[in-house]
Amino acid sequence: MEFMTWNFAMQAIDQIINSAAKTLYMSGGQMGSPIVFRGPNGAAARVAAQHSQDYAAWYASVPGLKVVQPFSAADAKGLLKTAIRDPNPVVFLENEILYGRAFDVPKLDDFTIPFGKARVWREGTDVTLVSWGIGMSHTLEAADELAKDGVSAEVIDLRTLRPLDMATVIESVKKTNRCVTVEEAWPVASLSDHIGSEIMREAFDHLDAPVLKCTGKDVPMPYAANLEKLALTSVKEVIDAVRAVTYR
Amino acid sequence: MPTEILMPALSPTMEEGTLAKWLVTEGDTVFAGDLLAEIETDKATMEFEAVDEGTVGRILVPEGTEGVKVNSPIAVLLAEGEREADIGSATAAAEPASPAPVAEAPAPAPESAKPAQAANAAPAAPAASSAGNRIFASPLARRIAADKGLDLGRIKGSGPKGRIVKADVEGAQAQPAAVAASPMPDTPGAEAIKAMFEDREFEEISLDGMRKVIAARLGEAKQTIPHFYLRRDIILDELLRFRSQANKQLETRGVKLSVNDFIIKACALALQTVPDANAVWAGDRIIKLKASDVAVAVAVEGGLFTPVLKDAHLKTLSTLSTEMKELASLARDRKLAPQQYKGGSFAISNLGMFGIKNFDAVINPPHGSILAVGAGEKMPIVNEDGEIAVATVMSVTLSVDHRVIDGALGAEFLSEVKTNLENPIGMLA
Repeated sequence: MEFMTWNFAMQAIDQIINSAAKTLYMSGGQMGSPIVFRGPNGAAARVAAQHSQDYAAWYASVPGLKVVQPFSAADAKGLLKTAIRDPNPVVFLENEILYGRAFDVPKLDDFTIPFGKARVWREGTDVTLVSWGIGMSHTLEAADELAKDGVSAEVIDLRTLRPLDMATVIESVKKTNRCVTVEEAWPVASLSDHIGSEIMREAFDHLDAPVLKCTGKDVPMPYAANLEKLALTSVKEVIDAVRAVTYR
Repeated sequence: MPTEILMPALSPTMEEGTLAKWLVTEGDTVFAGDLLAEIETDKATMEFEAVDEGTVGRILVPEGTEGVKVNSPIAVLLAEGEREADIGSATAAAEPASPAPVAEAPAPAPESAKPAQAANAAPAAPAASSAGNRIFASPLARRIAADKGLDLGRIKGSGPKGRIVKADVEGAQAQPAAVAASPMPDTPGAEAIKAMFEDREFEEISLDGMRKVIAARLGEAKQTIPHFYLRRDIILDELLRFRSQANKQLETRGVKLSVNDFIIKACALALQTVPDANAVWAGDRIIKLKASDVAVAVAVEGGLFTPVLKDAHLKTLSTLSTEMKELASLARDRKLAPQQYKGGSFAISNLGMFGIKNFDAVINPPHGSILAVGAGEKMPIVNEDGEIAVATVMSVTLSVDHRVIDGALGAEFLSEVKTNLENPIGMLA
């Protein structure tokens, strides 16, 4: 099922959460709901407050759903195939800006990517950057900039938000001792908050600094282009956060 | 959470200062770089700038307050969206920590006021360590420190608000020797020692300021100064004859010279004859003094003082004798002024009156040497003619700081002392 944007899916959120996500559980496993809901999520460009919302944390909080938010074209392809084959309702969050971005895609007969497996985009030793979807653009660019200053960042693309591959993140934080999460959604009750709390629980003794998050601002999305830019996170915010946690 | 603004250290040595003037009032909005207050140290008045932006929520230390400890909270800064009601948690959290510094504060004051040799009181470890103030360290830094057996109290944090982070504990690892050689070696604690005597009756005596200074200074001296010892016997008969003659003549003036007065004079003159021995160790250099300022150890109830006789080489025996009596009397009453026990390059410690034959004294830093004087005793000697004779012999030991004075130089100095004492008339010239 395709939504023109996930903003319009709000009319159907009762069906997605109360019907699709609950059917398997409430029928005692007798009935499933194998539907893929897909469409662009989050801010595009100048579509204002009602059409720029990021639903990642909303849907990722719901048991019974699987939630995917790919960054690269290859991941979008491989994950979509997995989503269609999955017997559960899958929320597939795409991004309008990324539609225009080119990536290499492997030519394989049956290329799929499993759910719940994060991808390590680059290895590093000083800080772990955790992101997904469009947040990965800021993150990878920041990692390039930081490398010029001798800060080695490990970049993890979560790809699937439910189930969440925390094992890869924890493993990385144990190595780097610091973590910054990057997303464009609102800061309150965000996925970054959940990831931060999991790291604190699983890797407390490995932390050399608090886990910081770079998120969208706590405001409705402005229409004006300059304000819209300020309301999202940026490469500079990521670099600043990394400097803070690495004490440099 | 509201941020506490802490009393800044405006110089590396600053421990406390006066909050001379607030340049903001409660409710003011400040930006990084705005002037917050004027802070006065013993050296200067300096302006204190805001590091973060926010609203001044509450001023905790009113202006004009003296003796504000570095790093104690002086105001609370509210970030955007925080209200004054939020301050409760910040100050409440700070309060349990504050009684400790407050209770501690008066303690060091009387200690340094006491006329002990507190001139440069012992570097008493890191003051704010485990004593009371909480140490902020990242979880990782804590774990590394625990693994390596490092005391976080001895590590300076480079993170925000002095947080100890990974880099700090790793840096500390690089010099494990320095940590191990710190002035507090891992001797068993008081409780462990008490446990050894738990079946015996004992009394506990708490340390007064003088005892603490003696323990710290002399502990440090014996551990850090490379001492070596030079011994000589001095024949006193000539000096004793001269002294009784002189005392007869001085009787009318109420002056009675002691053997110790002669020793002071002999040493003061020797320091002039061998000026290289008139020197002290100053860490990265040697300080060579012009005048002979001779310190003399005086035992008092519960400890000792070392008043200094300044310009002793210029003073007559009778002046030295009178001055020494005055200083000793002041010392026993614990009324010596700091300038009366400060300085000197050399000291004399005389236990002859207690019948001690000879002993090795501990150098009193920063002095370059100390002369330990034993009792003058009649004993058989072989005189210059090769015959056995009876003489009054006094044994002395010069303890020398090898960093300042080498063996030959020390020997030359001690030889001068001996010559002076064995030819007392020469000292009058």
